[in-house]
Amino acid sequence: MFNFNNMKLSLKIASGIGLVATLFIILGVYTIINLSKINNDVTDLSAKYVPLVESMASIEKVYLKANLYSKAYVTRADEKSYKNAEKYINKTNEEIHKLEKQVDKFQNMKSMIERLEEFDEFLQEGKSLLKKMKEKNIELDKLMAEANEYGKALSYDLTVYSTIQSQKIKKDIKSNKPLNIVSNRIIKMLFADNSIDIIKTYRINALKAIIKNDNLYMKDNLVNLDKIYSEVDKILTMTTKDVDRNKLNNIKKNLKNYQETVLKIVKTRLKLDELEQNREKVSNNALAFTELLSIDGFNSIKTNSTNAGQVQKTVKDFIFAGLVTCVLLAIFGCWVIISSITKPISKIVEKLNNTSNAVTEVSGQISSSSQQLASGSAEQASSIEETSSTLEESSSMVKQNTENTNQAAGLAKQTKYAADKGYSEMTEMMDSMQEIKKSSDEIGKIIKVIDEIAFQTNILSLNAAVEAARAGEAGKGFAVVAEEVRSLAQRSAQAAKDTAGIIENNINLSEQGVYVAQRVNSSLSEINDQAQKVSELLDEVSTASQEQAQGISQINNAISQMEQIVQNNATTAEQGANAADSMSVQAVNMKNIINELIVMINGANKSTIADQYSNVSVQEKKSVPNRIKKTAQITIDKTPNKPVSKVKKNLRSNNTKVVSPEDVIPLEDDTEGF
Amino acid sequence: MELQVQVQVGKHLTFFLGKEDYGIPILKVKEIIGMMEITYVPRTPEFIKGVINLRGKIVPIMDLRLKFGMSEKEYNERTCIIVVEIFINGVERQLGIVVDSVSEVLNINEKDIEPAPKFGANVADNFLTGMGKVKDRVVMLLDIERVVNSDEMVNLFETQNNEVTVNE
Repeated sequence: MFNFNNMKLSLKIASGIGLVATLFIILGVYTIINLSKINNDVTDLSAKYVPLVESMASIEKVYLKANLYSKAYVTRADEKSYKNAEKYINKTNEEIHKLEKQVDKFQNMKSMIERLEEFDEFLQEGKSLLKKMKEKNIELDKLMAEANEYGKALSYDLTVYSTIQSQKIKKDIKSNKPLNIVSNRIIKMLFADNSIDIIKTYRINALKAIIKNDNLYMKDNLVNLDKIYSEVDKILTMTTKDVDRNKLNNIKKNLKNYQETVLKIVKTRLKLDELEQNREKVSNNALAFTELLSIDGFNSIKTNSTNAGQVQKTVKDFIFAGLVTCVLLAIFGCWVIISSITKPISKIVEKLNNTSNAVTEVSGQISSSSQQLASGSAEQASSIEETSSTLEESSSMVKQNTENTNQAAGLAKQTKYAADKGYSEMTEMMDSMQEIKKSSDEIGKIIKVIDEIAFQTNILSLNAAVEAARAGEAGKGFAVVAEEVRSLAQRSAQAAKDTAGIIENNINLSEQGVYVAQRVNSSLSEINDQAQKVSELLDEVSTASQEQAQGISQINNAISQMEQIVQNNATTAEQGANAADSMSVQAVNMKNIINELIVMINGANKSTIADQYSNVSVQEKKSVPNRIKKTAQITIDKTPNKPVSKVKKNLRSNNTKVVSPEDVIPLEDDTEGF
Repeated sequence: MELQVQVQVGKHLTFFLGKEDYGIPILKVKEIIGMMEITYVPRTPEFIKGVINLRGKIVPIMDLRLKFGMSEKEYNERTCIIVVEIFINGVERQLGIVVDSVSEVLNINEKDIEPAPKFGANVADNFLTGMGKVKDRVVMLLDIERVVNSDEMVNLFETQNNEVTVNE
């Protein structure tokens, strides 16, 4: 597995910083990408959507104006309004085309183009309707003028006819023409006046109707004019003159024309109304479209801007989260790196500090101990001299030992001989004892026989007594004899019993004697063996003494060598003391360096931590030097005394080890036994 | 049956059973012999040890220890057989009695004999005719016929008798 702790320090730091840097780079790249996205959205918004909406608004504005003028034209039917309406409709059209071109750039607004085209159609229809209305209005104006002319002509004709009739009446009255002629004339004149009134009334009503825009009223009241026809026909019957008849027919014709023209006017007006209604519908639709358009525009902007906002928000959140994680990671990484660097270093420094203290102490100890070693070496030299003199003594002792051993060997041989003699004599004694025992057994057997005989005699005597008793008086003497025999038998039995006891005692004693003799025999054989061993051991001792003498001469050589070595040691110890001194100086230097290191790690201000280290080191000082002192003392105590004591010990051990007859045979005890 | 104590005065052969002295009238004794080989007879009471051939005569042997209900003792060189003559159903018979050892022939006077003490209606005292005082010892005087004359013994001797008749 990958282990962070095993990494190089530089690699650790680099990896930590690299991690944070990578995270920042990732964050930055992400931010830039998203910011550019937002920027695109915003530029889209300002460069495309805003003009779009602007143009949509202008379309609405322009179209509203166009509509306004159209309406004005409908009510006024004047040329100015028409022109304005047409102008604004055209403008709207232009705006629509512009918008279409703009919308064409957006992929997501194809539906709007369709909508715009539809709107354009509505616009064109409205325009055509307006044109038709204009035509109709022109036609209407023409018809109105016509009707006016017909009406004027009719009024004029009738007025003329009436004045002519009134003049004729005056003439007739003067000329005193018959009354019926005059009454006819009056009827004719009345008819004319009446007709004029009817026509006037109608025309006034017609005007009112036009103002009120009541077309049906005009048409309905037109029937009132039909009365004039019947009146004209009545008068025609009364009229005979062709001139008058023509006049009347002309009136009739004019009336008819007027009526027809009025009907036409009514028709045209109805048509106009219809057109207006259509236009109104179209314009309403168009208006609804404009509203839809503006709503679309706003919606698109809204969606766009909300998209941008959302993106911006997510980016903001991400950046915030990324920053927080980066900061946390950086802090954590810093902490890890710092701890991973400082902890081991502080541990190492602590250990170094302890070690340097220990080294200082130890170097002091070494210098003192090497001085002690030097003095010890001197002591050693004197001890060695003592040793050599002691060795001479011991060599003379060894010679004496050898002599003594030889004497002891002779004594041991004598002992062995004596023991052999005692053994053979003891064997003889044992044989005698055995014989005694055997004869005692035989005596016992004989006594048993005697006892048996006594018993049988006793029974016999009793039988004799019985027989004597049976014999009565005759057997009395016999009974006495039997009694005597019985007492004899009892006495012999008693004697046998006593003898048996004595013999038994004899047998026991002889058995004991045999047992003791056996023990003595075994002891003697033991003595024999051990005397053998003693003589062997003494031989060994003599050879060992010779070896010892050789060994002592070797030791002498060794001691002379040792003297040289001790001298060397003394010089070496002095050198060691010097080296230890220089080492203590180096240790102090090392301590200073470590203090610098501590300052470097913990900073100069944080003296408390440095104190901690020093405290630790003081504690360590207390604990470590004690141990060192102890060991040093042990070595110092041991070194000067060891060689002398060792040599002495060796001498002693050699003596005891090789010549140890006391250990092998308890001689003193045995001599007492002898 | 009326108890008839017949004090027997005169010479008695004394013997030991354990530590106690017993005595039987010397006229009842036929002879004293050492221990002999005893032939075991099957289907006999425990105290009948068997029979011996005494100079051509078959004599049944009774261990008095067992008869008296004492513990059995191994026979040694001191063990003796006292051959007694007794009357069973009016016929004289010989019977060997095994005792620990025979002691002596004593003459016990009348004044030295006291009747056996009555320990109630005990059967055991039927065997005793009296207590003889000899120096500072007591010798129990046995009526050997009473000892032997029980039903079992009678039966035993009857069979023996039959056999004898058959042999003759």
